Amino acid sequence: MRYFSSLNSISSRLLVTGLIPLSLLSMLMAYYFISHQRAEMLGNLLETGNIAVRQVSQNTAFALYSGDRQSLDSLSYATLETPSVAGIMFFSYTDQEPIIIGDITVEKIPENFERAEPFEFDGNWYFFAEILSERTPIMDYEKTIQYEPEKIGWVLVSLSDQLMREKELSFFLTAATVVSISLLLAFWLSIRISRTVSDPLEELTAVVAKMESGDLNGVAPEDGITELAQLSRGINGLATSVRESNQLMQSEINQATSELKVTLVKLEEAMRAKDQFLARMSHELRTPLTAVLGFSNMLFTEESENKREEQLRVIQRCSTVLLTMIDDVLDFSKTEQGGFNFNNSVFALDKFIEDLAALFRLQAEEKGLVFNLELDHKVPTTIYSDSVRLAQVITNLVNNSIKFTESGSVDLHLTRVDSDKDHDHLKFVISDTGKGIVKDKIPTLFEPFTQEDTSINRQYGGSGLGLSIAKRLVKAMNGEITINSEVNVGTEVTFTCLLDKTNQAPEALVLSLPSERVATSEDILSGTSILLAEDNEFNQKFMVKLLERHGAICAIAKNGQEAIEMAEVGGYDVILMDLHMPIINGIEATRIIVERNEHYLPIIGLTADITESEQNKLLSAGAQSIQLKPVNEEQLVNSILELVGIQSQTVKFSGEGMLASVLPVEELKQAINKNLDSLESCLHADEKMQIRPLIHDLLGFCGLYGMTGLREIVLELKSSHAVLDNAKNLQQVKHIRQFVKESSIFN
Amino acid sequence: MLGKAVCFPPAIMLLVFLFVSTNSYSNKLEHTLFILSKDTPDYRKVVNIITADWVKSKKYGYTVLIQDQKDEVDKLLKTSDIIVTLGTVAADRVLAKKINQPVINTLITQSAFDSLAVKYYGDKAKAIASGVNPIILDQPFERRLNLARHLLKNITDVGVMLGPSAADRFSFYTDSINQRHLKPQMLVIDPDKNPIRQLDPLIKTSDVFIPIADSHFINVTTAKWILQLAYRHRVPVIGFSYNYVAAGALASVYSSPEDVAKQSIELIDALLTKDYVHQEHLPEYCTVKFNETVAWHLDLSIPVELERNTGPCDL
Repeated sequence: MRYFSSLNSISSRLLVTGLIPLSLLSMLMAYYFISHQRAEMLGNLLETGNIAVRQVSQNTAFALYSGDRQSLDSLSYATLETPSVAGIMFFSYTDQEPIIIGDITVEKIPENFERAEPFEFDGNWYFFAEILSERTPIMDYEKTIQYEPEKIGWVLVSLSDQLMREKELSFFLTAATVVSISLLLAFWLSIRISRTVSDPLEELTAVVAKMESGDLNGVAPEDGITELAQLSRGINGLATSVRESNQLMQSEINQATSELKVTLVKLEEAMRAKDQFLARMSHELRTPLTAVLGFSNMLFTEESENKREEQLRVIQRCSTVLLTMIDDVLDFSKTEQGGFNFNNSVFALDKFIEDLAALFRLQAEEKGLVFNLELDHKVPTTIYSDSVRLAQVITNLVNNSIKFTESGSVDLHLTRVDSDKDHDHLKFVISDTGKGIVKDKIPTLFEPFTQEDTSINRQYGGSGLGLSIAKRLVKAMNGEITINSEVNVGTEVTFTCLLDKTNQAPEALVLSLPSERVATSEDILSGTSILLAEDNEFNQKFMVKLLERHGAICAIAKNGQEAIEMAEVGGYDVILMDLHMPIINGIEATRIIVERNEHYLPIIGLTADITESEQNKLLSAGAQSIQLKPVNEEQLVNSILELVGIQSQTVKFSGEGMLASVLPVEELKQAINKNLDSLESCLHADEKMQIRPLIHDLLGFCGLYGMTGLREIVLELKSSHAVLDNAKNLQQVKHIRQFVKESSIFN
Repeated sequence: MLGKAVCFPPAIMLLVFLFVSTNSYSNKLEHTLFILSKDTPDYRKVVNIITADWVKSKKYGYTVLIQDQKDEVDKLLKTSDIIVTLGTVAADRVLAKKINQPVINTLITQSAFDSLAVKYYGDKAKAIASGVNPIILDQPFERRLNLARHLLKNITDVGVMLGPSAADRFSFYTDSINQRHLKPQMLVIDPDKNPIRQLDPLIKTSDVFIPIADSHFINVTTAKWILQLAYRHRVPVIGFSYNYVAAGALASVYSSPEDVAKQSIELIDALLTKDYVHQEHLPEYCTVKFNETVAWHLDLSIPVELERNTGPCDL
C-alpha cells in the first residue's frame, strides 16, 4: 500500500511515465541493433561464403579439370585467407576423388550438402557450387548455338561462425553497456524532468500548506515552467489578497474590539449603575415594605382607631411609593425591550395642561411653593397624541422640580415653536428655583439608574429612571430634552415634541387620578366558580382564602394536567393559571384548554416573571390577562369581574388591606422552613434531582408574597446550586433561613 | 530456266515484301533465291554484299528467305533461277529437295557439306553433278601452316588437334607439315575423355598449335582448354575463325563475310556462263587477323604484310 501510495505523487508518476517509454525505447533500440547487427553479420558471412565459393568455383575449374593440385592449393589458400573461411573441399568428376584443403573433412560434411542455398551444420556454414566449364564460342557464323556448360566437379566451402559469434557477443556486450548507460541516463533524465515539474509543485504545495496553517508570508517561486509560474503567481496573488483581507479584517476587528471595549466599559459602568440602582432599589423597596409590614403587624394589636387609621395611611403611602417605583422600573424595562406603545387620541391640550397644573399646584402648595402655568396663545387647542405619555413626561419633570425646590416657584411654560399643515412643534419649559445641578453631572442625568449623587436618593428617593424615561418618551415623540441649571439658582428643563394636527373633536380624558367611580363589596365574586391551577400548597390556601372572601367558589388543580382535565369537565367561570407547574406548565395547559374548549372560558395568568417574553407566551397561548405576583388583590378581583362580565365598573378596595388579612404569616413561615428543611435533607443525601422543585416552591412563595430580597438569594441558589458543592449550597440554605428569620414579614 | 524472266503477281510481291523482308524487282527474268539458316547479321551481311551491286545495276531479281519459312521457300525453290544457301541448315533444307536449279552452298564447312552430300546424293560427286556448288568455308590447312611459318621463324613442332570428323584426313595433315620440313604433333581428340589431359602433352611439346575445325561441339568444347593450355605453355595458336583470335589465339585465317560474298558473286556470274561446270569451291579469299595482346604476351612482333583483308589468299 505504501508503495502504491508513493506512486500517487506527481514526481513518481512523472518518473514512471518518463522512465517506462525511455526504457522500452532503449531496450527496443538495443534489440533492434543487436538483431540488425546479427542479421548483418550473418549476411556478411553468407555473402563472404557465396563470394568465396563462386570465386573458387570459377577460378579453379581449369586446375581441377587439369588435375593441377598445385594451382588448386594456391587458389584455395588465397580463399582460406578470407576471414571465417575454414576449409574447401573439391570433387572432380574426372578423378572421382575429393580434394580437401583446410579444416573440412569428408566425415564432417553433412548429408544433402549439394544444395544451392548455404546451410548451417555443426557450427559451420556450408556453401556449395558446381564447377563448370563454359563453352568458348569460337565459330564465326554459328553464334546462336548454345551448349550447356560442362560440369567438371563441385566445391564445398566451409565457413566457421566462430568469428561471427565472437563479434556477436562483443556487440551484445557493447549494446548491453550502451543500453545500461542509456537506462541510467533515462532514469537520471526522468528524475530531472519529473523534478522540474514536481519540485515547483511541491514548493507550491508547501506554500499552500503554510497558507492553510495561517502563514500567508510564504512566497511561491514564479520562475520555471510557464504554467507553474502562472499558478505560483495566482497563489501569491491569492495569498496577498488574503493577507490584505486579513489585515483589513484585523484592522476592523481591532476597531470593533476597541469599540467593544468602549462599549464594555460603558456596559460595566451601566452594570455598575444598575448594581447601585438595585442596591438602592433594594433599600428603597425594603424601606416602604418594612414600613408596610411593620404597620400591618401593628394593626393586629392596635386597638386605637385613630392609630390604626394613621398606620393604614402610612401603609398606603408606602405602598404608593412602592408602586411608583415598580411602575418606573416596568416603564424602563419596556423602553429597553423595544420602546413604548403609544395610544394616540385627540384631546384638548389646554384642558389637559390645566388639569395637570391643578395637581402640580396642589403638590407645590403642600410644599410651600408657587406653581405658575403659562400657555402661549399659539398653542393648539386640540392635538393627536398619547395624553398619558405626555402627562408622564410633564409630571416627571414638574415633580422633580417640586421635589428639588425648597422655596420659590416652579413654572411650566408651553409654546408652539413651529407649525406646518400636519404637525405642531411644541416646546415645554419647566423651571424652578431649586438647588440646581452641577454642570458636569447634567449629561449623566438622562442615563438610567443615575442621579446627581447618591445622597439625592437617600434624601429624595426615586428610582433614577425618571429622566431617562422622560428623555426616551420625548425622543419617541420626535422631540429633544435639555437641562440648563445653575447651582443654588435653579434649573430649567426644556423639551420639545412634534405632534400631529387634528380637526377632530377631543375625547374625554381620564387621568390617573383617584376615581370617584369606585365600588366596594365583599361578595362581589359571589357565585363565580374559579379554577385555581397552582402547584404550591401554601399558595393554594392563600389564593382560595382570598377569593372565597369575595364570595367566589374555588376548585384547585395541582398541575397543568389536572387543570386541563378539570376544565374539560367544565363548570368554571374563570381559570387562574400559574405559569410554572409540574407535568404540564401553565402556558402549555392554557393552550390546550383554549384549543379544547368550545365555549368561552377566560384564563388569567399568574406569574412573578415580569419579562414581556413570558407574558407574551402566555397571552399567545390564549390567556386573557396576566396578574403579576405579588398579587394585587384589587387588580385581580377587577380583572375577574371584567372577564366574567359581572360588573363593568372598577372595584376600589378600602384601605383595610384584605390581602394582609388573609396572609397566614405563621403558616407561610412554617411552609418556608419546611421547604428549607427538605432542601437541607436533599443536599445531605445528595439528591440533586429533588433540589430544583424545592427551589421552585421557594420562588413561588417569594413571588406570591413579593419577598423580593428572599427571592434574590433563592435565585442565586437556583443559578449556582448545580455548580457548587453541597457544603456551599448548605451554607446558602442557611443564609436563606437566617434571612427568613430576620425578615420583617415574619416578625 | 536461266535467262527466263519470272513474273510475280503484285499481291505475291507485296506478301513477299512484307513477310520476307527482302528487296526484289522483277523487270529481269533472272531470279535468285537466298535462303538463310538463321537471320543473323553475318548472313545478312553476306546477302547484302552480294546484292548490293544488283540493286544498283538492276541486274538480277532476288528473294531472301529464312529456311524455316517453309511455304515460301518451297514455292520459290520451284521458280527461282539460282538458289543460294547460307549456312549448313539452309543447305540441308535445299539439298533435301534435290531441285534442278543450280544451288550455291555458302558458309558451310567441308565436313558439313560432305556429310550432306552423302546424306542426300549418296556421294559428293553426285551432289555436285546435280548442280550443287559448295563454297567451302574452311580455309585450307596449308594457309594456316604457312602463316605459322611466316610468323614464327624457328618452329619445328606443329601441334595439330583433329576431331572425329577430320580423323580420316590425319595423313593429309601430317604430310602437309612434313612437306614443310616441320614435325607434326598430332592428336585425335577423344570426346569422351578429359580434353585437357589429352591436349596438355601435345601443346606442351608444340611450338605452334593448329586446331582443325570439326563438329561445332568439338570446336567449342576444346577451344577453351586449348587457349588456356596454350597460354600456360606460351604456345601460339593459329585459329580458323575471327572468334578464335578474339578468344586468345595468336592469329586466325578465316573466311570473312566479305570473302564469302565476293566469291559467291563470282560464282553466280560463272553459273550464267554456258561453259561453267558445277564443282566444289574452296575459299578463294581469306582474311588474316592477329591478337596483339597475345603477341605481346608471347613477345612476338606481327609483320604488317601478313595481315589480309578480303583479298586473294596468297598464303
